[in-house]
Amino acid sequence: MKKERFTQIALDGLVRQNPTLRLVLGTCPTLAITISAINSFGMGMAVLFVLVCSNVIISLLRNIIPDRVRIPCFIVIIATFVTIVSMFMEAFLPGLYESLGVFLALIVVNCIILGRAESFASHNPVGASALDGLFMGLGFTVSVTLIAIVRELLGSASFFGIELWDPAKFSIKFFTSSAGAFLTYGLFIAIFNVCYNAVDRKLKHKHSHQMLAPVETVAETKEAE
Amino acid sequence: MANQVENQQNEAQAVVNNEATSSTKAMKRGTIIQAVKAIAVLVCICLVCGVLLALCNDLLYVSDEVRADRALQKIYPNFKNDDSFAGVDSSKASTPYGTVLSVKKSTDGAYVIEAISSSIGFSNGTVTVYVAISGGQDPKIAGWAIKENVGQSFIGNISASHQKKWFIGNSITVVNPENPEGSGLGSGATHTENAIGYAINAASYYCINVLKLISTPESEAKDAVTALLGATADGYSFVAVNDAKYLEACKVGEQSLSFYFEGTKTDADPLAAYVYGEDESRQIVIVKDGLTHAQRLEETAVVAKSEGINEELVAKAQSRSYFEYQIQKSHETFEFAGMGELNSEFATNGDYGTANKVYLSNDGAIIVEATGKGGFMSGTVTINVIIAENTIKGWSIVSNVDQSFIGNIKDEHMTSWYKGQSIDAPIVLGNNVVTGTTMSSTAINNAVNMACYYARNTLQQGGAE
Amino acid sequence: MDVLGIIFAALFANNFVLSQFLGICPFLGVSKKTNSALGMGLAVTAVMVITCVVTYPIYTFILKPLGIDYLNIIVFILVIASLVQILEMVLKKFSPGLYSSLGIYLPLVTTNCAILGIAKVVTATTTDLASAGFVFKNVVLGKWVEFGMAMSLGEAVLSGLFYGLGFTLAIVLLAGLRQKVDKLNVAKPLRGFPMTMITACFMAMAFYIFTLIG
Repeated sequence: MKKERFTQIALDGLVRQNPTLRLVLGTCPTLAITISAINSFGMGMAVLFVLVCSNVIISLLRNIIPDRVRIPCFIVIIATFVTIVSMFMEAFLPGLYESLGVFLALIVVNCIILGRAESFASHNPVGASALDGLFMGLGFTVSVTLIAIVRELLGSASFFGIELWDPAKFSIKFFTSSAGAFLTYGLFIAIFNVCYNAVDRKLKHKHSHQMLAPVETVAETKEAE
Repeated sequence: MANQVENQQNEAQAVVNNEATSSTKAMKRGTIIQAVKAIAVLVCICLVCGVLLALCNDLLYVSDEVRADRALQKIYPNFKNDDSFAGVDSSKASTPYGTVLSVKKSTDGAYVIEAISSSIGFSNGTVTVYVAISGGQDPKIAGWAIKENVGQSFIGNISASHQKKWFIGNSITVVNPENPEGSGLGSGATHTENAIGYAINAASYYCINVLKLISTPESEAKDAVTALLGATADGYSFVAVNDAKYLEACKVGEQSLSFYFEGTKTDADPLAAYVYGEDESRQIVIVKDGLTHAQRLEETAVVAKSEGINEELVAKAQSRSYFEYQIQKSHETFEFAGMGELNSEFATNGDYGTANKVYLSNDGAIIVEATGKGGFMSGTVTINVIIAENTIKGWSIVSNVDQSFIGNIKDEHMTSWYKGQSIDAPIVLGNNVVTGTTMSSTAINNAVNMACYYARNTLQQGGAE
Repeated sequence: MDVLGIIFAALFANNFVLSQFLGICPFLGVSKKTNSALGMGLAVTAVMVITCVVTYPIYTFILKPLGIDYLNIIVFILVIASLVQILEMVLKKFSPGLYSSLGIYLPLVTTNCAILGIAKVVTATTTDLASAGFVFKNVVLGKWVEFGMAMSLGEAVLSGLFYGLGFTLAIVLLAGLRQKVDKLNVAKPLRGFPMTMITACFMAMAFYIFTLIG
């Protein structure tokens, strides 16, 4: 694989098509689990695992699966990996399993995963699909963990579950509520957009060949939603 | 598995139907082949996935027992169920504070107890809690959580952080205060807090009295007494008499009486257990109680622990019962001579109350146990009144109902009030019986008058004969 | 069965969108116009009710007795996908009018996590140790449930209906607000999703009040 292709996929997943902050996909778990950084990181890892595995399998089977039954096939494959993740978590990480609750099962209908299967893995070779899954998953993990760190710090005065100061002294309960989730997420998207556009403009100015322009394989995931 | 395949087929069928409606007859043959292929692929994928999941399930299966343990680990983090533990003893599950519903034991000796409070919450509702009590030498409340409630609309005021702080670390040797408000819990939901406190007390009570997690000298002595009696102890309930003066009065040389228990049983003579000393040097004398003074002196001890028991101890135990001791405080020459027959004609008086029992003394005095009404909260007080030669020699309190201030009435009141008054005329509640507990004093006065009324009438009758 | 309790929780206190974060994608995506929001909401409600009617018996009478309840995610999602497709075909054939107004939203319903969410919630079980009397907390309902089935079939269907209506309520309200909010001249980075999220934030605050009642 060319180095350039690798960079493209990595940049797509982490920045250009960041599923949480650019495409605004998989919003349900993002809003629900960003109440604590540990939960978010756990959720991110679960999504990453499912994304990589389903991308690899779907990419392997892309020439076997008939077009008309592809969605049910994708769903079955994704659901299998989700079930495996939830079994694993229940067995070894019961605390996390319980706090993620129903959202662990709902990874099945997470738009990111079906979206990547549909738009990337079903047209691309195994290696690229695996990488795409990895970086999309990382993009999701990093974003939700960042949002969670902010919410946790302001809402419950702690960082990854470690209490930094007495919450009775200073903590804004609002950030632990559902309204706080919407606000924090909305502001994160706005801030990310500002930074992204600023960097993009600067790079465009420097290089004529547009380093940050989207690659060909960009799917119309957003529209599909 | 079969069902899963069935679903696949439904799904595939749907696809087929969809295809069938949208295709023309000419293309039908090709479509069918394609559809069959699609179904085959889908079914294959599903089968493979099903098998994979079945394998994973075997590897990662979490049993129901483990799940149950995990549920309890929220209250007690080290919980691991001890299967050999029998669970709640339903015959002893009822406590003065509420009822214990279930008990689980952890392998490290801790217990998780589910208890429901008695109906003392808001609008007579109840609260059910889980309480974790750590094992070891000094069992403490390690955690608790509310399971459910009946009618406690303000239970939302009690947050998870309260559940992490309140009661935790309290030793169960001190049953928690009946009114948690007094212990500064202060959520604003006072009644609900009371109910929670009761439920937790119920669990503590069960730990102390049924699981016997802690052994106090008193409970050890009680166990020793029941062990000594063997089968005879069945059905007796032993209550320790906590009267320091009596314990001191029963001292024999260097051997002081450490505990005195009164054992009662329906349809049987009461027992009195005198426990001297502690542990190895413990000596126990058990005497059949309810005997006349003479009988007591004649009868040897029913049982005495250890062969070398001090004869002096036996003699002392036989010489004076706790009942006699109480009466002798105000009438020194009292010696129990048996029960008098209660004359039911004069046993009740609408103004005063009732007369319950009559004891006879060798010196001719009679003791009337009378219950006077009109106390605090419409409660009553039951007292013994000693009457000899038509005058009151003294009185002592036996029991009371709802008289929370009765503690204000001291021994010296009992020996001074009413002493020497004639029983011929009703006694008016005078200045000399003011303690600040007006209502309790009224009930006592009524009881005294009741006893006088009874004695006056029965003695006069007796005199006429 | 606490009918009023379920209805109140479903519509307000535990509103799927605003307090449980289920079905956010269509909530943000299909809320530009009130009409389409209503269509989406009703389509979701219909599928939710049917999902509850179908998945509850499948789980209770087939998966659990056979001890293969670990297949629940796969089975549920396939049942939902099939149901949606069948519903679409039935509507197309028998009620073209309804199809043209609701049908176009149906394909989106499959990947709506509110649907799989309700299937998981109504079958929320905590195994067969009912006699042990110990409890788990039902994630969405927020109440302690005994071991065993948390809900009866009647409660399940009622929940499906009213959680669906709760979703409809939220999405229609948001659409109404967005018709005004989208016209506001806000800073460029805030346009689109961020502004919608902030609007939803205020709605969530308003709905938070209901959790304080009862």
